[in-house]
Amino acid sequence: MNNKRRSKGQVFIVLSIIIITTMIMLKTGLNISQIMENKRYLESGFEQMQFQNIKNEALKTVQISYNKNITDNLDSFMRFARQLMSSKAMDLTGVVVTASYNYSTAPYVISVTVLNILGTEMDYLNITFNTTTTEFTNTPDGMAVQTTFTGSYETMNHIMTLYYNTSNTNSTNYVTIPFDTTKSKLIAFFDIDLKSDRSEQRDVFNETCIL
Amino acid sequence: MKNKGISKTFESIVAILSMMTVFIIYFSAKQTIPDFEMINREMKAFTVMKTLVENNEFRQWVLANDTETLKNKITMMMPSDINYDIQVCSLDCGKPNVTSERMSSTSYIVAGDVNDFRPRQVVLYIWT
Repeated sequence: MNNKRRSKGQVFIVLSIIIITTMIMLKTGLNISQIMENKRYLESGFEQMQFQNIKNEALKTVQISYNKNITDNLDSFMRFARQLMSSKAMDLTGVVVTASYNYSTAPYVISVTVLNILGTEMDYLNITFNTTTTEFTNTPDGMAVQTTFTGSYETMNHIMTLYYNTSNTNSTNYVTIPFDTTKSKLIAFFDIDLKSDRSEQRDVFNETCIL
Repeated sequence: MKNKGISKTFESIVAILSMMTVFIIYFSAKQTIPDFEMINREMKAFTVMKTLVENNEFRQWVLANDTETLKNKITMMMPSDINYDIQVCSLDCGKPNVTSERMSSTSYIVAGDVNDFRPRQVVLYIWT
């Protein structure tokens, strides 16, 4: 009898333990941080889709600008995409290079344009093609620089090297120029980066078209 | 007998206090469950436009600002419980006159076409 009464007294403690355990299990099962992580993953995937859209349209710009103002159009497209991404709190930065040459007889002239969209000034830019180097200093963000290389090149892949530094980074890009003495070509090279609070997408890609 | 009464009261107070402590410590941090509906709808809208862009005519409709044709094409691909409006613009797009708090938008970039290089954005506004 005494035991029965005693156990009735403990019922509150036992009940509270059961309720607390249930609450903890419910909360653990809900796992908000995992849900947040899943949402971030989803948003990052969406940003990847938007980055892909920019990449595809940049390549489309090269294709549809066939032999007309490719450099100007790429410049215009990248500025547009950059402004649009900026309005969505995303930073589109990078370097866009175009190199073109016309089929003729040697010596050949290769025109090179480098568009700086790094979001900061290029303190120093060094373009090297077949042992010839051109240097630029203090290229502001949003500006393009142009140069030409002249020589008697052979039909083969030549590598153009771009070295630049800014106040917070330095980088080297290698652009393959498929030189062909029987065709006029344009090579567009992109090294672009899309950054937000959630994720960062970067890709280096190029497109070659016969002019 | 009196002691047993006090004991029961004490146990019930301990039980209530333990529950309150756990509740306050464990559940006081304000956490809102993230809204997946918006991001899912935006991704769906983006995928619809991505699918449409594979059709070459899409560029023509965008550059001609033919939003009616675009709407007709999108109708076939969007879930019926989602309302939407479409706008084609350069950088600044006007917003549709909709009061829904659950409105979001997604934009797709179109560079232009062979004879008309004009970067545009197609903005799909979606709400329920």
